[in-house]
Amino acid sequence: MIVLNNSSGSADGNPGHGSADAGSMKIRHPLIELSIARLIEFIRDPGALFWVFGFPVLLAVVLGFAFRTPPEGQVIEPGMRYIDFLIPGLIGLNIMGSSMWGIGYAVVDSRRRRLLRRFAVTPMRRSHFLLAFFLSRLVFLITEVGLLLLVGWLVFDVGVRGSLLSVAVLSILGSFSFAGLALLVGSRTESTEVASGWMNAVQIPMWLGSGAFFSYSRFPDIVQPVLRFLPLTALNDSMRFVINKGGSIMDMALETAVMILWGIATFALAMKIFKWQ
Amino acid sequence: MKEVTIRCESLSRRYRDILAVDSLSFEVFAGECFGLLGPNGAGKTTTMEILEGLATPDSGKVSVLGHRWGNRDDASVRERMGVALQETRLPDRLTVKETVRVFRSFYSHGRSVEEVLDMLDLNARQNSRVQKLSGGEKQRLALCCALISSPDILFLDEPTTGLDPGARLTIWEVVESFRNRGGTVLITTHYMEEAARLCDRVGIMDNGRMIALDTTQKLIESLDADNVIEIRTENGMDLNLLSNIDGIRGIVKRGNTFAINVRGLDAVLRSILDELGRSNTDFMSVSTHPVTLEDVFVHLTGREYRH
Repeated sequence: MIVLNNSSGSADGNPGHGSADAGSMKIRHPLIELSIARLIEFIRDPGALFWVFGFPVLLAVVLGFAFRTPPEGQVIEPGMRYIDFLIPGLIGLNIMGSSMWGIGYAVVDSRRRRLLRRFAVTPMRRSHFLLAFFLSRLVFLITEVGLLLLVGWLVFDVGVRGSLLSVAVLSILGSFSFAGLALLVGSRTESTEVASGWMNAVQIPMWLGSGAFFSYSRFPDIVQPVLRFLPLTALNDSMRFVINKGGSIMDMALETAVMILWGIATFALAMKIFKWQ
Repeated sequence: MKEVTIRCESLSRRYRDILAVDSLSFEVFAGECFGLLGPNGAGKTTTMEILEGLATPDSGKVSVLGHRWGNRDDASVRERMGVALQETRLPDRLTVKETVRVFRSFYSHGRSVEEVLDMLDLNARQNSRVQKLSGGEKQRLALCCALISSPDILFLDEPTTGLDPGARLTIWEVVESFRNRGGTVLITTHYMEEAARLCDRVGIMDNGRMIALDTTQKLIESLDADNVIEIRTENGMDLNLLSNIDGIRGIVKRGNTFAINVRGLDAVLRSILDELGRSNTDFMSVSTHPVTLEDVFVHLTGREYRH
């Protein structure tokens, strides 16, 4: 037999509004609670953990060793080797991949599970729900980027010549632009297959054209402006500038603007066309 | 004059070619449990979604606690609502407690997490992940999330579909307790016995329309019969045979099966069997049962009630 405890009801026996959290558990702001829930879900997903943390390191190690030997008779200084070029590119790729999959897939899955509708009938602010995805990503960003930098430094002697603060700010900006893009990709569809297709369609051109594995200067001049306006290009270029050349984010106004613009535009559009039902 | 908590007037909603809800009007009074009953596809869930502010009607008016959906005060009405939707799958990898916490954070007032877990007897499972829960436990968790705000109105869309009898009983007790303390409940179900047990008033829906609305008692009384005799025949039966028997209140024919509403079971059954014998009508089975809401549906639609 189940008995409803009347302790939180009003005096006349109507259910009414109870006391604000009489229990021992402190409930935090919805944005924080949602972000924590996202973090927990991610940590308990071994597959996602591998793709975000394990795979990029594996890729760095394999590629780093494969392209280790300089051409005959040449001595290449640290800072000019392929691995020096590669590490910042892999950081960019990883930020893009983990943001896109981590957010886009989760949003579509929540819609498929009818969870979005369930949230939509609560007083939850919709912007909180979407921002929580971005906030929970930021926590992982430190580990993701840190791990790649650490492996680059310990295994291949790739140092960060610029400031770590610049690296951190660039990572956040990159993450922001891809979070918006991911929300946009996941804003309407209910099918994870359709979302995966779109996610690949958005990412593959940047895998190739944004200078992650090889310089995009190899592409014809006519497409250069387009490539430079891609968020991953902006992230990779500015990361390399800071890590390899010791530059500061202050000298990367165009790249910074490109990332912020992508973030704001995609976030705003996603909010507008987002389908909760 | 009773206070109206939910009101809808000539609500219609079309999905492609189908009129899912067809000029529906009814009121739910404060403190009552109102049931929308009907087979799958009757339009119950669509009606529910419109009332919850999840879907918009093509025409008609809705008010919940005197509020119309679609403006800035939506959140203040949602503060006072508890909802269990059909087929919400809560995140698999969160625990019971973590899930309720998230929902608690959306409301400015409400119960503590411990209190709702207690109410639904989920204390022992509070650290289990959602994916490990049984169907009944998942549904209880859904009710935890609905009750966490200590709502005035509870919207329950088929809360016990697919559950075993024990799990169903638990949910019924919680709903009854909520209602006994003055809460208003709007529930959809395709289980007649659920509606009969929980609801003060029942609206029977079919093809998007409300075909009857009253208390369970009055709906059953409307047939003016106490029992139903169901006869399955080999090759049908000449209905004229039955025309002189007193106590027959209505006959619904479905193929070669006849459902006969009667008053005074003993006498009528004897007379019917006599007539069948005299006319050499072959029958495969005869069964009787007291009148239920299901028979009201059959009588109104001429169709068998299918879940």
